Order: sequence, then C-alpha cells, then structure tokens
Amino acid sequence: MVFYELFCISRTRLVEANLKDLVKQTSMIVMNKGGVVRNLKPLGEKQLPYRIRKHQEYHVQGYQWLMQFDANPTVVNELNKRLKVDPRVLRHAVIRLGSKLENIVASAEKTGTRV
Amino acid sequence: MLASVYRNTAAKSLKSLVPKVGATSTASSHNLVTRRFKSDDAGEQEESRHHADSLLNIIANSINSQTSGSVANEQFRMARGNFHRGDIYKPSDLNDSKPTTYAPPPKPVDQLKILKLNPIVEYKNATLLSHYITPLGRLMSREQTGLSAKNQRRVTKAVRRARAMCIISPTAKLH
Repeated sequence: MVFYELFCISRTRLVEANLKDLVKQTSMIVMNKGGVVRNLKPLGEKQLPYRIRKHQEYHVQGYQWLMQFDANPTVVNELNKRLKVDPRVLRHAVIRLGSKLENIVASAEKTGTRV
Repeated sequence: MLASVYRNTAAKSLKSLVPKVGATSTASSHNLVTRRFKSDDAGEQEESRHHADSLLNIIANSINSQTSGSVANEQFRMARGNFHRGDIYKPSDLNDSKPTTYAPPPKPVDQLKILKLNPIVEYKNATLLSHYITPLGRLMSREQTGLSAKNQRRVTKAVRRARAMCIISPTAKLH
C-alpha cells in the first residue's frame, strides 16, 4: 500500500448535501477498490490566487479539501478519470506522500499539518 | 579562523531556537503524571500553531533577499598581493597595514535541513513556500535562499506544484 493525498478544489456555494456527496463518492472509489481512507480534512473556502476556467466557467473562489488514503496505484487512475469529469471539481491532484508512514508523520508534525 | 567560529555559532543558534517536538512525550511521562482534559486539545492546537509561526520566523530571518553583497569579496580582492592587470586601486590599497588575507563570506546555513522539513510534503503550505519566492512571485536563487542543492530542487518542485494547484500565485507573493 502506498500513501496518497488527494488535494481537491471544488466549487464554492455548493449545497452541503452536494458537497458531502462529492466527498463520499471519491472516498467510495478508493474503498471499493480495497483502499483505506485515512483522513478527510476541510481546508476552507478561499479566494484563489488567480482565476480558473473550468467546465466552461470562470471561478475566483474555491473550497479546498484534502483526502489522505492508502491504495493501489491503479486506484489513482480511476480517481483522476472521475474527478476530471465531475462538474463540482475545479482542480485536483493526487500526490504520493511516500511508502513509509514514519517518514510522512515526522515531517508533518513540524509545521502543524496533521497527517 | 573567524569564519569558522561564525559558521558554527550561526548553526548552533538556529538549532537551539527550535524546540524538539518529539522529545517531550517520552521524557515527561517518567517524571509527571498529567491528567488530560478536553480543553487540552485547544491548547495543543494553539501551541502547534505558535510552534509553526516560530519556525516561519526562523526561516524569514535567515533569508537574504538580495544577492550576496560583494563587499567582502571586494576587500579580499584589494588585499595586498591580489592585484591583477587592469584593476583599479586606491593609494591606500598599497599600505602595508592591511592584512594579506581576509575571511571569506560566511557559508550559508540550510534552514530546512536544520528544521528537518521536507518542502515537497509542504507543497500545500503557502506561508512556508512564500519565503522562497520574490514579491513578484518568482523563485529565489540558491544564493538568496541559502539552501542546499537538494533542498533548493525540492522547494522549486513544491512551488511549481503549488502554482499549478492554485495554492500560490505565479505573479505575486500573497501570504
């Protein structure tokens, strides 16, 4: 298992149920393929540093959230496919944190980012 | 040599400023019995935020935002015996009272190495990465940041990743 982190910027002003549905769907993609979702973290609604154009619209604000999970590399492909098409998602990036938990945790503790 | 003393004290002072995070848990458990209350979590969060702020202050203070001044180099150049064809000199440069060699400029200390931070993991941390970009949002050179080659590469990668992911502006320093 490899430790991944999905950093996602979704649309602002989504109805709460809609946002929850989005997060749940992405988690289920991981879990259905035998992965483990370790952490779901909201990072808040923020003014984006520059204007984004996505799904035929311009966006100036976004809601950032984070999902940390262990999964097979094949799951990452699946995630990317789904998120690219989802109209609620503006930007997404799956980043590989590492293969050893000790290395990840030690670094994250220093700056107050919780793993 | 004066230079080596300066070098060592700089490194030591940075190290002493950073409180060891992991040390408290094992050390204190032997000596004290502490009761945990629910309100402790709020305090912990504040403490970690304060800790993060102090780390950022350390980094901010040790970045030289202008490229290293050539004053020391100029003095070294003008020292007796270092003249070259075509150089311009002052009459006072020919005085015997000047020492023959000058101390080279102090070696820059890699803050991220001392603080044991991995910049790639901190790609989300706009505040941390902002220390390594100019006010116009451009990456600083290694001369300015004082990082090792390895960490400079990692910081570059982290900044480019953050720009792509709409965490940092490519044209300004916002945080």
